[in-house]
Amino acid sequence: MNLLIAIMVGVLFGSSAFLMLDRELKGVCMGVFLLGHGANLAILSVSGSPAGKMPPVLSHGVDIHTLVDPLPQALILTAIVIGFAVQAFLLTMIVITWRRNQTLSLHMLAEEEAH
Amino acid sequence: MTPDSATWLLMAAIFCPLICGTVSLLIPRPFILPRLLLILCGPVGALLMLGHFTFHSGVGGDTAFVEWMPLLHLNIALNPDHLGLFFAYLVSGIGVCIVLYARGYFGKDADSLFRFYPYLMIFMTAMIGVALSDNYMMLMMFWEMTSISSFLLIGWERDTPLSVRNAMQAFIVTGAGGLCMLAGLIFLGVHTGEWTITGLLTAVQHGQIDFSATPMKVCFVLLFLGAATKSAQFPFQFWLPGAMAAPTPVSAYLHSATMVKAGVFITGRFWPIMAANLELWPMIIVPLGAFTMVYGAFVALQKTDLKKIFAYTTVSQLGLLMCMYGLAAYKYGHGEAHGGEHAEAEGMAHAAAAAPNLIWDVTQILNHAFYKAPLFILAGAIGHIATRELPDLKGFYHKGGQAKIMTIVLLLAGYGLAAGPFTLSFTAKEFFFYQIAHALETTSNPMFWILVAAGIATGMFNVAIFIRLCTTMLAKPDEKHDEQHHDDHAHGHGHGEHEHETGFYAALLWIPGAIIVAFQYICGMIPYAYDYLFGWLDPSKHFYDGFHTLMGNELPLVWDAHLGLPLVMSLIAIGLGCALGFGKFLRGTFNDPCDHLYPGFYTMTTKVVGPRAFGLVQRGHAGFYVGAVLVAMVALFVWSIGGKFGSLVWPEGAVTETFAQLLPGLLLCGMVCLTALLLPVVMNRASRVLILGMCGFSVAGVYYLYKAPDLALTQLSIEIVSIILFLLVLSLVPDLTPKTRKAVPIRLVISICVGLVMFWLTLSSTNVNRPEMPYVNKDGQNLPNLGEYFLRNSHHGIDSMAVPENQVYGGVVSKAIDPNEVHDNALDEAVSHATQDGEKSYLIHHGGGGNNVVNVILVDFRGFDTMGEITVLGLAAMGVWTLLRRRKKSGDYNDPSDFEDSGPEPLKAEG
Repeated sequence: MNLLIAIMVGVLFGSSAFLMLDRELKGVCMGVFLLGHGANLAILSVSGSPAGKMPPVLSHGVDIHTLVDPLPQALILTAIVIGFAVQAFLLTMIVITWRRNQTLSLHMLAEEEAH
Repeated sequence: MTPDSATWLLMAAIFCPLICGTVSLLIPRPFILPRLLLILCGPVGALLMLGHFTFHSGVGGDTAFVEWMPLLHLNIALNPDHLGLFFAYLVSGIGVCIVLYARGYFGKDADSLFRFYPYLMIFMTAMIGVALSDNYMMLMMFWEMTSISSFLLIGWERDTPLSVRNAMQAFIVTGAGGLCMLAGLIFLGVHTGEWTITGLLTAVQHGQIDFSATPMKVCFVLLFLGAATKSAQFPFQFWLPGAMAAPTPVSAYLHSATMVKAGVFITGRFWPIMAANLELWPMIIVPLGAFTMVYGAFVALQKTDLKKIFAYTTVSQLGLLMCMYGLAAYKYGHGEAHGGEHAEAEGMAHAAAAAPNLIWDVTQILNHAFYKAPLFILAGAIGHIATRELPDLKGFYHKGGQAKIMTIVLLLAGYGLAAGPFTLSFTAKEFFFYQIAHALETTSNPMFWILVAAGIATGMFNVAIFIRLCTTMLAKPDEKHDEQHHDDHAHGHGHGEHEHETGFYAALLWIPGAIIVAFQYICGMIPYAYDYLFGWLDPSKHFYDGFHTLMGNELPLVWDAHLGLPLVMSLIAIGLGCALGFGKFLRGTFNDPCDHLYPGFYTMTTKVVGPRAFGLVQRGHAGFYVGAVLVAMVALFVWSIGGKFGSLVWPEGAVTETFAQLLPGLLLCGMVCLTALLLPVVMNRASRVLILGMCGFSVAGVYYLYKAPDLALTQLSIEIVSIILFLLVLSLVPDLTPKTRKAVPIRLVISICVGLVMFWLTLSSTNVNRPEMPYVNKDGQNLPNLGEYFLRNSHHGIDSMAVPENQVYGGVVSKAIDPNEVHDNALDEAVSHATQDGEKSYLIHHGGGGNNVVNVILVDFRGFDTMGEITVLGLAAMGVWTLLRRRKKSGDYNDPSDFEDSGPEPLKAEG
């Protein structure tokens, strides 16, 4: 499972890097979303292989050593929600950028900035 | 007085001017007199509080140490010793005169006074703070405050480009020096471990500081750079004449009497610590100070604007003061027989063995304030009613009335500048010559003859300036010039526009100057008066007990001067100065070549180097920045493994599960990878959004596999909302995506590298043994990780993390409970497993009281994080709402018509 999650993180990061280098704002935005998924999974990977373990929910007589590490999960939960807020904001920025400049091409935006 | 109350008294003295200045802003502008009275309370209050302190605690009285920011070593520690109190008195004393003078100078211009006084009060507070600080981080803070207030005051005429340029020039020079000094002080603190001046002094006396170490030398050079820029030493002197763009009260106060002395002050502060122990001290300070001294006086002679003349003589005097502290490094009476002989030959008491070669240093500083402040005050006054150009002032004395009085006061102060007999100035200059003579004697280094010549030359130039002032202003006026005066008056000077006042307020233009210059003569002629008024503040008298037997207890009178090298030097200087003053030499206009330094620097940074460097890193293309970050990430990884890819070992335990266990993981992994790889390839935007959604759902599945039900649920719901959001946005933005895309190889290479690096980092991090937590659990075992702590304590707090019981994280109640009772309590069942093997009774700290550990972490253990998260969400929501709402008003953006077709209508088209 460690190998699998590492592959997923690698692919997500690689793909998001490619998208973020896009010339167009929507592509960059998608790259950021993928980056969020990749980072979350990378954090999750530190809790180790989940095989044979239980979710971190206490019940009568449970041995806590059979439960997975709850800390990465708590961190990711926060990250998902904040990531969503950032997504919403980014998407809004795309709309605003379009309204103001009638283009989403980063090259054209940069040139407009220069003038 | 207890140290505590003494500390607060001094702090009140420091901040009294600032408070008065701030409160004065509440007074409506037209009320000039109440404003003046309130502002006067600032320096007068400071004087009274300082006096009260001195009277009760004595000089150097105890003050308490108040902790402020101990981690930064920034604490409130005050050092009201002789030098500090002297400066504080000087600043507030001259401050009273300047406040009055400013009232005369600005006349009835209520707006200017409203703006001017608070600035002046900021400076006063800052300067008293510099004088009294013991902790040198605190000193640094006040030091920068003086730079800022000086900047504000030089740039007084905000609409004049020259003023603004000069203000920036002054600020950049002194600010850069201040940064050097900060670095020097940090070096000093780190090297010695002492962060107060008194602490350093004690350490030096116990020989605890290694002065031969390189950090000490670096620290001294940096410190001196700060002092030299502030005190306008060569080649930084150019900012001071430029600072004359400020109103004259500022020139008289900041740029001659007080602020520029801050550099000298800091040199004086560090003199007992460094001078005798650091070879560099005299080697750097003496030549630089001496050169500045001669150079300043030489340039001053060639200037025609009164303020410029006095500015350059200020530079010269600052050089002299620096040189004085530099010479103080040579121990007086070094080589006992020699020194003793010399002292006897001078008819003095025998020298103390290792007294410093420093004589009445405070007198030198005081003396300069006593003639330079009046000179500036009068220069401003004369500029107010006529002109500041010396050639146009020919026969000014004969214009009668105010002009007569002003000329007399100006010339009286000028006599002080020339160091004529019967002034304090003469005595002070004699002391300086004594110091040179003693240094010459103790070191028997012929190079010091150059210093003798420099001393004579400076004296000569100063005398010549005085003679030229006299001959011009007292000469018979000729008619041609007279008309020119009026022209200048009407056009040349901004202050001419104010209507002239008469009576007391008009006289305020020269009265403060006359008061100050009176001290020059009183102290020069009646040494007892000097001793009574100021002598007790002289630090050199108290530092070394045997010292003042050298010069006698009182300030010597002019007729006490003994025939020796110093007197000969004075006489030569006066003789040559008269010849030069009356003669026709050196009347050309000499421009200081250092004036080009700042424009050159400015052009270099803003026109040449700046744009190039900026253009190099700030390309303006988002792709460039993202690429730079990604490449840096890959490069960091390569660098961290030293470029040896062979050293990477495949970690064990990458796959521990059986194929059956792995199957769901394999499927999900395939989904995630497939969607992630499709995203860059697929061009249809609706498909892309759906693929993105599929990716998100697959990730939710991975969370489920990782036994994180909360994450999976959250991810699912968030993913649905984001897909809707994305589709919504797509409907607002037309599809302009090019159907085909050129594959850029460099993008591909970068992204593959990033993917590989992240793959490797993730894979190796799962296998790394995490260090044990430093905390122990209830049974004394180290917690293997923080997660276990949360598991153990999220329902009932079992451990205390080795912190006091009343500070247990996540639990507040603690009480002794018998384990038998635990079983009776239904709530405690969840932890009964963990408590069964415990001792008979122990403390149970109630934890979060929840079974779902992740939830407990979020809302209890890390509740503040969650609150921050909610804040971020709220801010984003507000941002989205603000940006997307339809604006009713036009003109908010470049083209308001864009908004007409926006809004909910287009949604239907695609939705």
